[in-house]
Order: sequence, then structure tokens, then C-alpha cells
Amino acid sequence: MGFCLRAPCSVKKKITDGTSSTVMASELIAGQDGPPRDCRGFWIQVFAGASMYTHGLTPNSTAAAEIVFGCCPGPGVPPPCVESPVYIGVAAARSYHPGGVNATFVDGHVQFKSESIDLPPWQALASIDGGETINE
Amino acid sequence: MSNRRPIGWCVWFVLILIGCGERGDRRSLEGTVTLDGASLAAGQITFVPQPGTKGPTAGGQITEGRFSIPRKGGTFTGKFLVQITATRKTSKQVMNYALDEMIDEIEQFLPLRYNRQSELTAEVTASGPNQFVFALTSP
Repeated sequence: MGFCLRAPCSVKKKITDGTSSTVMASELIAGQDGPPRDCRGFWIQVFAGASMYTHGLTPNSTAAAEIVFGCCPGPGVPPPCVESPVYIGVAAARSYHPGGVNATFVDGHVQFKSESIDLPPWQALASIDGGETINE
Repeated sequence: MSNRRPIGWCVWFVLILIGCGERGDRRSLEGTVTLDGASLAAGQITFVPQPGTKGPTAGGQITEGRFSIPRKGGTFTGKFLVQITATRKTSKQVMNYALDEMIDEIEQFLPLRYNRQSELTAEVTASGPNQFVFALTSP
């Protein structure tokens, strides 16, 4: 849920670069039954790493998600995560597919995005006014 | 058995090689991280492509001062901002509002100039060896 993070929640008419070029949601990899406790992919806990993710990391990145303390089971349980002392986190879109993730756009269409995507266009897809074009 | 079958397998093999070609651009990264001269026992390192550098973010766990990111999950060549974090438990318990219970508090103890306001950079090259040394100091 990329376009809706800041209150007040953005409404559709504010998505000036088009609902077809703004990602709304993506696949995530859910955690496992604990212990240790694993909040990843929990529905519905509204913080990064659970029901929310961010575009700070590219899809399926080997870089660790930074999720709220008490919610990452440790380095032995993939995908990689580390704990953050604060509630602001970074969590990548992730899937078990080789090569990328399926992302849902605000207009409802679903598109496969490569895990080799450059960071700036991936971040632009999460913006509501980036004016980006999709030509992957 | 038809003697065409080996040719069929060859075609599949070539297709598989082509299919995996995209990963050929990635590089493995490894190195060491010290804090005040001693190996950083545990932490996390992240490589973020800088403007002009293509490809994905990558990262890995730091264990006993070493990290190693395999080629499959590595970066393309270019210039990167490097972020290093490490956490430890404080002696306190605090309310965790996500879990709605009291749990051990943690703190990120490396200076911000190594992570959120990082001044660390790295250049990944095609010729390698892409081994990096990060000698951090506190505070």
C-alpha cells in the first residue's frame, strides 16, 4: 500500500500521474508461525514489514527489511530482516517467483516487475505525482 | 529411442542459459566492518544505487565483522551509498504499540553518518574484486 501511507489518506483525484502508473500493493512474503515471533505479512498490522511495504528497496532485494522491534524472527529465517527501534520501517516487495514480484496498480491492473529494476523508476511507481512512464 | 532427443535437450539447455543471462550483470560483494578497530559482531549492510547507477539494491548480514553477498543477489556495477546498522538490547522494557505488549527495548548504536545520513560510499567494478573495508568509529 504505497500511495496511502501519509494521513490524510490520498484520494484518487490526487493521483495526478495516473492510476495506471501508481502501484497500490504488491506481493509480500509472509512470516512463519513462531516462536520466535514473526510479524511479516501479518494482515492487518499497519506498519512496514507487516501489511505495509515500501519502495525503498527493490523487489526481492537481498538487503534486509527494517521492521519494528519484536517482529523480526532473526537472521536465520528468510527473507532478510532486522529490527528497528522505531515504527518507521523499510520493507521490500517480495515473492517466491524467480525474477520479480506481481504488483497491483491503483486502476486494478497487475504487472510483473523485475527484481533487477532500477531503484528510481521503482520508487516513482509508488508516487502519486511522479509523471513516470512505464516502459519496462 | 529417437536419436533426435539429444538435440531437443540441447535446445532446452541453450534456452535455459539465455533465460538466466540477466543475472550476468550482477556482482558479488564482500568485505569487513570494524567499529573502533574491533570486528562488528553483528549488523546489516545495504548498498543503494546512486544516481546514474543501474539495477537493484542489495545487502547482507554482517557476522563477526564480515559480510558476503552472493552474485545472484548482488548489485550491478557503479556507485553506491552504503548504509550500516547494528542494534542491541537496552536494559529496559518498553510498550510495543504494534504488538500491544511490553517487550525488550532495542537501540541502533552506530552513528547516523553510517546509516540514515550515510557518508559511506562504494564503487562496484566489472574487474572486481569488490572487497570493501569499512572502518567505523564511535560516537
